[in-house]
Amino acid sequence: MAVSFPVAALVVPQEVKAKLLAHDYQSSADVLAVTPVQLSRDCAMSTSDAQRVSAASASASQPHALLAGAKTALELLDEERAEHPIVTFCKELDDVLGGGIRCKQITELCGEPGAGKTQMAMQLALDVQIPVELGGVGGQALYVDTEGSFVPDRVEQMARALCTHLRAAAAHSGSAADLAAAQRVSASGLLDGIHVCRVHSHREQVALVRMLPAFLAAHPLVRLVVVDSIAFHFRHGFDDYGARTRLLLSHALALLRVAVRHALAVLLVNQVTTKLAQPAPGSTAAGADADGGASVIAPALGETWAHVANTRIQLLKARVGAELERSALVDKSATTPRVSVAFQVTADGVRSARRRTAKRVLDELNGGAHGEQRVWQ
Amino acid sequence: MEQPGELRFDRASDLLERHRTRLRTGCARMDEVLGGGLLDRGITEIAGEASAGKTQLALQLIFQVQLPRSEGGLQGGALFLHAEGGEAPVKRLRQIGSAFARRWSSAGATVDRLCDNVFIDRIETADLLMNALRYRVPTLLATRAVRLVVIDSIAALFRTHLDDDLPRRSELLHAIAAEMQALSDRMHVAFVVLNQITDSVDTPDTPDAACTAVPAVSKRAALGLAWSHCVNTRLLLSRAQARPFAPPRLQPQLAQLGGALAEQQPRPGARVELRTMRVVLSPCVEQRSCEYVIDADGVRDATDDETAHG
Repeated sequence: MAVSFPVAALVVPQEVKAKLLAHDYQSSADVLAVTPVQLSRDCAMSTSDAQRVSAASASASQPHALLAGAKTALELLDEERAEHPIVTFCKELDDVLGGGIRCKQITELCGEPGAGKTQMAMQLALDVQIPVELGGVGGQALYVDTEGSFVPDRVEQMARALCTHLRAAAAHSGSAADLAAAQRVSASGLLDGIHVCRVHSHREQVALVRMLPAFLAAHPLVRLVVVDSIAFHFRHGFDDYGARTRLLLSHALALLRVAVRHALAVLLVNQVTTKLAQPAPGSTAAGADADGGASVIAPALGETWAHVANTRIQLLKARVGAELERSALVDKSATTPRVSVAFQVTADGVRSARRRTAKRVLDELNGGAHGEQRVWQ
Repeated sequence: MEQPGELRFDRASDLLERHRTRLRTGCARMDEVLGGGLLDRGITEIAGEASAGKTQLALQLIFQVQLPRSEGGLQGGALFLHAEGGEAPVKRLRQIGSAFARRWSSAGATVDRLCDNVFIDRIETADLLMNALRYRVPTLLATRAVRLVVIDSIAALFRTHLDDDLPRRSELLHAIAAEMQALSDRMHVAFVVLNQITDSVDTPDTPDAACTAVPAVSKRAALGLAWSHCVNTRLLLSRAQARPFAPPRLQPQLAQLGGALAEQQPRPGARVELRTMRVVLSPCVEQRSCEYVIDADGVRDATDDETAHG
């Protein structure tokens, strides 16, 4: 069944549409009723323009042509349910994120130096490889290292801990299939599943993202692309901030396109910066600065950048007594309210924070020893 | 001017062996806390108050780097970029070199041969450092096997910069760091950058705060948040508070010498000051600390005796 569309909806230049309307061609049906030659004579347009109008009318008249590729909300929901998110290994954070880091999305991870951004990113590069049988994604990771902080032997240490964990979990479930899947995971195998690319300038960074479709075609198992950090090379070498923002946004758009087309998760690590401004929602107050003006810690790269990520997670650290307490604040998300959860970075990697007992809090307040009273989650 | 290199994709498993090497500090407890030593690439910052032993540790690294890989060195020379006021510490370099040569004499080390592998240059400003990193340093690295570049200190380079142009300073710091990172990967050289610290009495939990054991006053590395993002590893050196050290008769001399006890043989009964090294930022090890002392042999472990009495 042919559907008729108004001339205004046709994908042809504006002046061509004007000529069609001036000569009383109102819809695609009107156009298709005559030959291109007739059309060109009637509307005083070139034959090539007339042929283009004809072709556009014909393709637009196919059922659903204008909505090609569109899906219903139900189809999207089914797809989303079929996609496993990538777990962070901090259970509370996974719960807040609806299971972990989502595919087909950009997740931004920002925080002060030493907040655990790189540790979280390295952990996710391993977690994406958890076999499907054990509830994982069974993929690989591409780690774009812009700051030189990817330390392979640290990743190996975390990989060993992940192997031990998976084997223990499989043994607990007792299923033979789980056990077999866990036995196939090895630390060296996990390191094989992380592709690392070191970039030294924003030019290389942009070039890399242009090369991504070819890389992903050769490595179809990749389900996670980490850029650690997105900010470093965009914070020098630009005289014109407008040009920087434009390049940065097109860079992010290219990454989002890759994420959607290849159904993978993009994790962008961002730095933070000090701003002398009114505390905006989403920034942490950092007390008064030397000039007496209020300064706030906010994610780097400016206001426009804040719209890029689908989910933004801020990592924070605070010193409580002798202990370093880390928390993750899910700052921007379409699925959850703004909420903060505690986590820790151990020799094994990112884990849930240990629960503080009332006894331990008291000990801390008294400055006493509290090594023995730790209760592990 | 800047040419994008060829982008390489490596498996983490292939990088594992290539990047497992560490540069030992020559102080066993420090190496243990650092997971074997300093990374052999990227930027390691050593921050600390005046006479905490920053330069002392840096000068020791200049000799450690010359050791064969089996002994925890990188089998190469060192470049020392001097930016602090006054003369470059050539005399101290030679003193530490002599002690180092004595320790490694069985391996054929002599102080002349050791010092012959050390290049010293003076850099006045941040712009001159940028220029050196772009043109002069690569030329040196291309002709001589240099594996370590020390900058003493990054804060001194910015002393003429006006505080009110923070965005410009932040950009320059990122540009310098990016240049070092690129050189580090291309020429296989590690950067050790010394930094001063500033006292901060406001909220101690601001991001770049490198808190010491002293509550209320936090010591933080100079140059702020932007620079903190640029370093891969940050070590904080401090002189322990209220530790008894040398007997009173040595005090005036000590004050005169600052932290440079290198030429002083420890006298019988005299105890040396305990100092603390703390890992503040690291991509690979926990935030831990250890104690060390500085004496005629350079930076070394505190013996059990010293720790007990200290």
